[in-house]
Amino acid sequence: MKLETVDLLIKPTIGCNARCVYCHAIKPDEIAPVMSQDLITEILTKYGEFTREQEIDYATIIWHGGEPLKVGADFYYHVGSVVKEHLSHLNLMHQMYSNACLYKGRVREAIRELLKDRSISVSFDPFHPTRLHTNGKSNFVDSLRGMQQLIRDGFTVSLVYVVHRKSLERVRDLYYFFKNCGAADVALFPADFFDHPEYGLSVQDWAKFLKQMWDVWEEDDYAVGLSFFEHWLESLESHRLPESCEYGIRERSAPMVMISPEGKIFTCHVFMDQGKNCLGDITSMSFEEILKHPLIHQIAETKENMPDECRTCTFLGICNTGCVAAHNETGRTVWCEGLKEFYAHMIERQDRYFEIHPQGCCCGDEAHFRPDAPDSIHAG
Amino acid sequence: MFIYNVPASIVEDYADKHLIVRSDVPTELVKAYGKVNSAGVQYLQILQPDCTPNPLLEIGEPVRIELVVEDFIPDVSFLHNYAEVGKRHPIRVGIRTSPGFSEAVKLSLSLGFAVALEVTQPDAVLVEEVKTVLDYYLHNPEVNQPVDFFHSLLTVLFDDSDCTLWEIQGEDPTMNGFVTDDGRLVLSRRLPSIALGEPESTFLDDLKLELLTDQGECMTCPFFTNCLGYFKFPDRSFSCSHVRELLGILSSAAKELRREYDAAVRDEDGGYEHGEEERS
Repeated sequence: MKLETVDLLIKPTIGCNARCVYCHAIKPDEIAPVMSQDLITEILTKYGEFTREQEIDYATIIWHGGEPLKVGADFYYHVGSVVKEHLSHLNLMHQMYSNACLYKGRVREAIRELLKDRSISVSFDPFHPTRLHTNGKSNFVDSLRGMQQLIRDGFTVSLVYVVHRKSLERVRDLYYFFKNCGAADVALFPADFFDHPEYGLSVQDWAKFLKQMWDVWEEDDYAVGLSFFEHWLESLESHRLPESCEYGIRERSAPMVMISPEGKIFTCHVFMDQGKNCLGDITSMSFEEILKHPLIHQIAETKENMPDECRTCTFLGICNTGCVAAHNETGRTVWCEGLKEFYAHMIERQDRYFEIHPQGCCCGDEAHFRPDAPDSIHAG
Repeated sequence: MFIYNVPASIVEDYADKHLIVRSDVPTELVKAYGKVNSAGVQYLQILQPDCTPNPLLEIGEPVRIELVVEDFIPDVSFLHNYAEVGKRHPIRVGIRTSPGFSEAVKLSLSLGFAVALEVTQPDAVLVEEVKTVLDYYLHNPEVNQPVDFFHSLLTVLFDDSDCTLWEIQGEDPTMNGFVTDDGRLVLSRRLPSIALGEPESTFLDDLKLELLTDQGECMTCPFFTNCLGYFKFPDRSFSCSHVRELLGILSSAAKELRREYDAAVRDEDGGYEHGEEERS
């Protein structure tokens, strides 16, 4: 099979300048590993040789963490020089997930130079103290300051918002805040595996939040880009799986390799945080070996080996079993019932969206989208 | 482009800039106009318009004139005096909203003059009057001139642009500055206490960050993108509940217009396709 591309997700550190209440990934600074310049050089050099041999001409590198800005400007200046030397044959896009608090000074200059496509995802919580500095105070103001500087520097800033129980108190406010802060789009993630008396989100809460958010979105003529909503609607329209790792599928011809600060290889960054399903070590494996590893397509295979309950579900075509990292022992996402409730709401309300975005259904059959239609929405 | 609003008396100091030239009387404006690069003049502003406007006819080329009606003037019939001048120069009447201002708006429009409203933290009663003027602007078929800020904001909302009221009202500190009679550069005549150190001001960036983090009503206001705290000056504790009703009317009108426009475009496209089929 000809590879179209191989993308990388690199965590230069899982150390973080924040202590988010629902985070299970980071470790205290004193034991949080940081990727060395030697290691990133080795990774990118190998990657350059491999992509050149495979005649791959485009790829994406995602910088993730922990907080990726925490490794400092010199790391990214170094990355820039290695990229220039070894990856010049690639049309290479860099993306980053950050809380943006450290986007200033030399770090700002280095990031502006590396992320030439000016695309970045920022996360914060405007109304509840769930994302904290190490001193226990909310990092919201510093994050927002960083975000506004990114916008002024010409970045398209996507927002990542983690939904918790208290989010339900401020759904409308959250929507308009997303709009007002200038986010190009917003990805809403439920706080997974977070059994907290104050912030823990139940399946019912998730359904309620999504439905309320949909209603505000609809009232505002869908002005804010709510990425999962849009992916699901596009999927309804196109009869193709959504374009997301969580609800779609990663093509075997375009795998993603995720690398920890120590050089350990994974296929899911949540598995990496959990230390599960490691494929090996980048220093002792070639990219050929990595891509032949039995676990490399584990996300796709897990989705393909879905339980019968998913296979016959009306919403399979837009859910595709959900995020694999959030699967329970039955092989379904822990959010299954909540998603079903929301999908029914969305499908009932989709007509107005398509009035405003009138590309139309490719098959022209409205009943095709109905939850009571005899077949799954567009399974297969 | 940065536009300076300058007194006619010191216009020579700004001769090569983009200018709004202001004076109490037309004669001084005519003289000042002759001293600057006319291509840079945005408009001439008359601060005491209840006067004889005929000197303005001495300017041969059309130049925009703004008549400033600062506070409620019981008799605005002097506007009739500008009928002749209006045939040569486009006229806009800048009207400060204070109780009774709507009469000046209606007379201006009936004379074919554009209107620009200056609004500063209106109370509930005044907002009601502004709403009647908005209704008049939106629904009276005889209105054939723009009434700003309604007109520009309606366009901005229709286009889903992020242009702000600061820009619409000529008070965006990256684009506009007001030179006081004693030569200081401040934000505007309306807000003289806000000094501008230099044209590239960070005032609006700083304001945005402040308003998005203070847990106040701007954080979640549906109109913040285009308002950006415009009504929070000079008193930051001002409650915008009535203003939001007003902006809501404009927003609804823009959405209605957008829906009608989109439907018309779709009909037109459909008709074209249908026509193509018929021809083939």
